[in-house]
Amino acid sequence: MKTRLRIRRQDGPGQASRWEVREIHHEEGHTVLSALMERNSEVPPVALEASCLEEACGSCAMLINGRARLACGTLLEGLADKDGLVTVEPLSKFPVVRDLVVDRGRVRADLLHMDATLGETRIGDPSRVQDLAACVACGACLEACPNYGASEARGVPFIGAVVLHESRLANLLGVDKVDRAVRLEALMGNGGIADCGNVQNCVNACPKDIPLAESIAELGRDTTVHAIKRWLFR
Amino acid sequence: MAAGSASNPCRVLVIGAGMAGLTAALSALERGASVVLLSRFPATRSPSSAFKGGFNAAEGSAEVEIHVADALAHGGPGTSEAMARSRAQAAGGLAEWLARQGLPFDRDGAGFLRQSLPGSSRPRTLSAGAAFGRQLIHALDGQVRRFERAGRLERADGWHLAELILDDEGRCRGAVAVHLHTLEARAFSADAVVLAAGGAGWLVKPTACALDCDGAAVGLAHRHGARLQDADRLAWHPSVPGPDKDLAVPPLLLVQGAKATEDTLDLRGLGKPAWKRWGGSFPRLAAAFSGKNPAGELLPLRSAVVGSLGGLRVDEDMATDLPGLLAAGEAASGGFGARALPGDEALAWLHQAQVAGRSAAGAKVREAEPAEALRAQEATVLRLRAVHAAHGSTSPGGLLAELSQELTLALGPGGSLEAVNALEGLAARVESDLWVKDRSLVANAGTLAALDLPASLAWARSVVATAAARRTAPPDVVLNAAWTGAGPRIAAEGVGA
Repeated sequence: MKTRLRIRRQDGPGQASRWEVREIHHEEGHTVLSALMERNSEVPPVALEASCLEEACGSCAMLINGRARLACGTLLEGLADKDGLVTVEPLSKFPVVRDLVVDRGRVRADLLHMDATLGETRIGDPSRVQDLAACVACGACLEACPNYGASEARGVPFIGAVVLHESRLANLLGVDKVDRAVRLEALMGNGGIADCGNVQNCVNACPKDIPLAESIAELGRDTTVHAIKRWLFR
Repeated sequence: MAAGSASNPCRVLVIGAGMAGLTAALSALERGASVVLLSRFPATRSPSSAFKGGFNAAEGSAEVEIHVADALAHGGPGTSEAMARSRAQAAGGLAEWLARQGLPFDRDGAGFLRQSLPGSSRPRTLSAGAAFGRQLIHALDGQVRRFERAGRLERADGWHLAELILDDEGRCRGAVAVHLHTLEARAFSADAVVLAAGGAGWLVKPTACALDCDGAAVGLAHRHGARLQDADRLAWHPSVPGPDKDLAVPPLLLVQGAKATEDTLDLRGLGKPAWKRWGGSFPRLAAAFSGKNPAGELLPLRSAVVGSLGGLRVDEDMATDLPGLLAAGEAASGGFGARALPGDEALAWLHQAQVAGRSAAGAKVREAEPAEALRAQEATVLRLRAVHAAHGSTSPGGLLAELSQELTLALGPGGSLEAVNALEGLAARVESDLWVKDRSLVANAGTLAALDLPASLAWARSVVATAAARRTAPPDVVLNAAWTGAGPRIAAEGVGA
């Protein structure tokens, strides 16, 4: 089988991007990642991030026909548009380093800033925690979010669904009440939960079926209760 | 020199942020050290996150002895009884520690759910759903972040190990790494270094390992004088062929009733809820890659590499032969013998990591900033320039592909020993025939691969020489490979030692 890949390439940070179209030969069961890793001495290899090759690490998230997907688990078959093209681009919400490599460092900085950390933990229902902890922080939810990376309403960028979800997990697992209060305060601050527009694109975009809307709704309730208590006991 | 104190803590460099690296970091932090955690990628993207199964933890001394007996029977005559016992005894405490860190172990009415993996005469494998590695990384990463917020740990994500820093006495004093995005070289000085950078399963085909399991870090330590032990021993596991790599069948799916023959996998006996609970994304991906519908058809199966069993030779404190350098996880030898008892792999990696972190935190603190760090950093910059100035004819990717082919021939079924000579030829070409076409200084994977090639080749040559020596070695020994500069030298060591 033959497919034409249309790849958005960029040589370095801040540089202009360009389209490159290459024809690749592939077999049944081949993925977008297989196609991108195919050796071709004529053109320089496409810079990309990939590691586990089984949707477990989240490294190879990229835009495939405009949608954030994990390239290692996305089959080529049936992807081509009416012109026979499959379009591949870097995630748009992060700065491009080179070709399909983006710098997702902001997510980790936000996790730290929001104190989404664990200390002493208590686990109620393990299978519930397992489902929630399956997030690979690939960034697909952030790509789909209209508020992530958009204008900074209050001078601080919105932290997005990954960090909100991790904060909820930290609240669920963590035992320390003071930690929880610190976290809820941070979430009530600029760039926090109030900047979520409840569009819920994140849930549909998630390749791991994480209940992101449920996490955000729970944090909404928790922050409200926290605010009322703070007012009562001020 | 003095041991670390609160105002002047011991500085530990941990290389690798997978399950072993995170555990070693936490173990050192709990003992007062300050830690730099250096990794190519954020912990969440570590190959550990794709690890499935669980780990063995027997309860009570009688059960521990049965566990040891199972491990010895499964591994055969070359298994280290001392290592098997040490980890079996540590397993209960380790499980409690992990539960406290936030690892959601599966439970039944009585406590931890215990399942029986093949080779175990008792149910003793603890699990956390379909993705044990992911759950483990999630919990440990959250704990590490706490120390990071408190300023006790620096996370150095996106750094690729390039060189070890050695002082005038030959003691390891840190490492130089190159940033994946900018190719900047930076020296990370430390009082002790824990190498937890994983195994080399990607290089032998067919493989179910992650791309990053390339053995380069282990090869670097080996070139600097750390011996490899049982370097030819690999873990193989039934796997469904995929386009870029194979998919290892989740061990707990097999325990729960999936039926594997030599070349087929039958998931039809299990309900969809069991697929998801014990298989995670495996049934869906296996269906996509094979074009078969597992609800009605058999999936194709073959044996693929899932990890390294051998690695850097370590003593009971996880010290390698290189003073100041400790090893843990897949980078270290597990003393497993010919096969690891299923469920003992992760136990060994985590146990070794705890011990290595403890040993590292007890290292002597040196006051002066070492000049050798600058020297090593400059040497790395010169090597980067040399790689880009090379005018041969073979790309680093091409050389690695050849290396992988020779290793596969030598270690695969029916192994060929011509690989010893072939790899020697490859090593000569790394010196004379390398050509890096892409000389960009931004996110240049080819340049980093070229930088790694001498270490990868040293590792590969020792592996193949060990496999050759294995043919005539008695069964009850471990084989150590020492790097002499000209090549590997293999020696047998009794397992009782």
